[in-house]
Amino acid sequence: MKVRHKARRRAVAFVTICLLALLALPALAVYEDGTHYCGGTQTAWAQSLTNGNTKVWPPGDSQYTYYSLGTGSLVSKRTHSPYGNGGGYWKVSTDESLNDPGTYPGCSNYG
Amino acid sequence: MRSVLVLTAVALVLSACSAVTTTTIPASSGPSATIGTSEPEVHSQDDQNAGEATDIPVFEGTLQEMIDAYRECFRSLGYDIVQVGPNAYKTVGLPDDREVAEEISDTCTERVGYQASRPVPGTADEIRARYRELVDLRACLIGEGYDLPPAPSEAAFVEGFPNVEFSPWNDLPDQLPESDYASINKACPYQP
Repeated sequence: MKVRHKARRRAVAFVTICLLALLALPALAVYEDGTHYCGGTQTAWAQSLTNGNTKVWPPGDSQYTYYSLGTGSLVSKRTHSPYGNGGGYWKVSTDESLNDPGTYPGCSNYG
Repeated sequence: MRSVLVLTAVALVLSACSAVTTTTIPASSGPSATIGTSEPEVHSQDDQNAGEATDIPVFEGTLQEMIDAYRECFRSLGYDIVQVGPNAYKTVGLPDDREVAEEISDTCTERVGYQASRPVPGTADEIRARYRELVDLRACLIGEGYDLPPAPSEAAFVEGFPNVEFSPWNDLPDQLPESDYASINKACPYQP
């Protein structure tokens, strides 16, 4: 009986430690990236569907836009590169959730 | 036998918690007119070259104060930002080298941090509470003179959460003067 109580206490302590360790972990970041090229008379953009602290680097642009989107609904954003930059590498990152089908690059025929 | 069950339970708890922390949906290509593209890839922070800041402090202050702190940080490094929404900024002048640009971005993220994340609404009551906050934010913005589209119904929001989009900030006109965003945050403070 005594042995059984000891085992139970160990199990409870183990679970508690695991849960505390989990709580102490920083939120995992997730990101989606790729390359996307557009014509010289087009505007490249990155569409994102995320929440959390989100950074969007549109195709071929070294500037990014930051959005504080919290833990509520997923929010869609379209972030443009400078007109006619031709596109290139793009990236969307967040510390909460990213909807993959809702996150993709594209080109538009207007400036 | 019991210890095996306990370990199994712990494993299930851990995997369930990590699934809540970060959610992604399997890849598919988006609808875009494409000249040339590579298949988008989704990564977690565990991937190599994730390029994400890992030690991010909690910013103790309002959202506007946080954006102002980022402005100060980027300026101290020789760059700048322009505020493009109550909850958004765009960097200005980062170098063309993307790796260097991301390092600079990470430097300010590690210096300034982010506001503490609020718990993800889990129950219907919690989702309803979040909905009412957004309704109040929308009403405040309308009171400030902005014309916003109708809100989704509470039932639709609760049923479809988190996939029913309801973001009053997102419905503001584009390219308002920067000072307007600061005024909005002062008149209608909200932590998302």
